[in-house]
Amino acid sequence: MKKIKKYMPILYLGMKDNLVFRSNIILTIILQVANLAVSLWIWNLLLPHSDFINMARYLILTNTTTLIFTTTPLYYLAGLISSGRLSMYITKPISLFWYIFLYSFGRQFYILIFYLVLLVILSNNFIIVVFLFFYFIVANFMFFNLMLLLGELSFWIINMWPLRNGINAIYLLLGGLYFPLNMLDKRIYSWLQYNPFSLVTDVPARLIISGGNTNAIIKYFFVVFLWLVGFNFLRKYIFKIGIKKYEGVGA
Amino acid sequence: MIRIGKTIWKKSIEEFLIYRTTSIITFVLALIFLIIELVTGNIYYADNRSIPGWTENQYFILITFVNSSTYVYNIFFILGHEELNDDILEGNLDYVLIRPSSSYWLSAIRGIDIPSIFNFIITYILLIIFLNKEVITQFQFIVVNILIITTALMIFVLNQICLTLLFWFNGLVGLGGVVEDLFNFASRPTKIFPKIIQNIFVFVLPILLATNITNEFLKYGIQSYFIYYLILLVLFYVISRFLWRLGIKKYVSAN
Repeated sequence: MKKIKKYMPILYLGMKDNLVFRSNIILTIILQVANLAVSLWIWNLLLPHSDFINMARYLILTNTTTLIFTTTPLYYLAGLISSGRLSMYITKPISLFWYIFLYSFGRQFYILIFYLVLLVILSNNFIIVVFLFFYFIVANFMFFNLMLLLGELSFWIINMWPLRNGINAIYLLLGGLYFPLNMLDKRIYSWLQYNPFSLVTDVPARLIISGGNTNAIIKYFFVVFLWLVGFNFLRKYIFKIGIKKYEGVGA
Repeated sequence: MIRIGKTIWKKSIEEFLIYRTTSIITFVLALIFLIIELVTGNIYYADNRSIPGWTENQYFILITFVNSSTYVYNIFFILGHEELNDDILEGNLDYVLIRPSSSYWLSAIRGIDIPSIFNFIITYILLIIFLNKEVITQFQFIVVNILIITTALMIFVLNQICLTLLFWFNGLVGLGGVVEDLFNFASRPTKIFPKIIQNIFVFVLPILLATNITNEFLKYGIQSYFIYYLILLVLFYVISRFLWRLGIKKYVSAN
C-alpha cells in the first residue's frame, strides 16, 4: 500500500501535464489527424464509395490507437540518457520503469477514455469490447517495454533524429496507418501480422470491424504475452549492458 | 569561411568513423522510410487502381524527389538544427552567439551528416531510374537537379523559421519537427487535397508546391508557378533572417 502511495503522484503528474502542456498534446493530435486526412483523401480517389467507407473506419481506428500507444516513452528515456539526466533518476530509491510507466499512463489517460467510448459506439459485439479492454492492458505493458527497449539504443547512438524518422515510418507501415496490413502479399502478411506494432493498432481495428472468433482472440492474446515477456527480459538485460557505456555527462 | 568549412568537414568525418553504430543505424532507419513510401505507392497502384492524372512512375518520381531533397537537407543542416532545438530550449546558445561569425549560419551548420550522403546517393539513383522511364531531355534533367537543391533550401528555411519561433513559444517542443511532418504529408499529388488546402499550401506556405514542383515542371515546363516558387524561397529566407535577429534579442541565457 505504501509503495502504491509513493507512486500515485507520478500518475497524477502525467495527467496534469496533459493539461498544463496543452499545446503539445494539441499539436500531436493535429498532426495525427492530418496524417489520417491525407490517407483518407487518397483512398477516396482510389476506391469506390462502399469500399472507401470500410477503409475509413479502419484508418480512423488505427490512427486513434496511435495516440494511445505513443512513442513518447522512447524519446523520454532517450532524452534522459543523452542529456545525462538519467543519473538523477537511477540514484534515487524509485523504480525508473514504474516512474516512466505511470507518467506515460497519466498522459495516455484521456485519449484512452476517448478510445474506449469510440469502441463502445463503433462496435456491436460486447464480448469483443470486454476482450479488448483486457487486451489493451497487457498490450500497453508490452508496447511500453518495447519503447523503453528502443530508447535504450540511446546508450550507443549519439543522434536521436534518425530514430524519429525510422520508428515513425515503421509505425506508419506496420500500424496500418497508410493501409490495412492485409493488403500486403499473403506470404508476408501471414507472419507480419504478429509484430508488436500491428498487434496494438491493426489487430484491434480488424476485430472491431469484422469481429473475430474465440480462437483468434486467444491467439493474439498469447502472442502479446510472449512479446511482453521477451521485451521485459531484453529491456533489463540491455539496460545492464548500456549503463556500463553510460557517460553521465551532457552529450 | 573556407577554413570553417574545412574544419566542419574534418570533424564530421571523424565523428562518422568514431560513432560507427550511430552512422549505421542512421543509414538504415532513413532508408526504411524511403522503402516504406515506395511500398505504399505500390499498394496504392495495385489492383488496377490509380490516381487520376498520375501514373505509378510519376508517383514514384514524386516520392524519390522529395526524399532526395530531404536527404540533401539532412546532410548539411539536420545536425545543426537538432542542436539548435536543444540549445534554444535550454538556454545554451551562448557559444554560438559569442563567435565573430554569423550566428544564423553557425547555428545551422554544425556538422555534415555523412550517413545521409549514402541515403541520398541511393535515392538519387532511384530518381534517375524513374526519370529515365519518362524520357526527359538533358535540360529537364538539369532543372530537376536544381529543384532538388531548391526544395532542400526551402526545407531548411522553413525549419529555421520554426526553430526561431521557439524563442517565443518555449513550451511548444513539437515545433522542431512540424516541418518534417508537413513535408511527409505533402509528398502526395496536390490534387488529392481539397481546394482550400491546396491554395494555402501552394501559395501561402509553399510546402505542396515544394514537393510537387518536379512533376509540375515535367508536365508543364517553366511557367509562372516556377518563378513564384523561387520568389517565395527568397522571401522566406529574408523572413527567417529577420526573425532570427528578433529572436536573439529575446534570448535569455541559462549560464
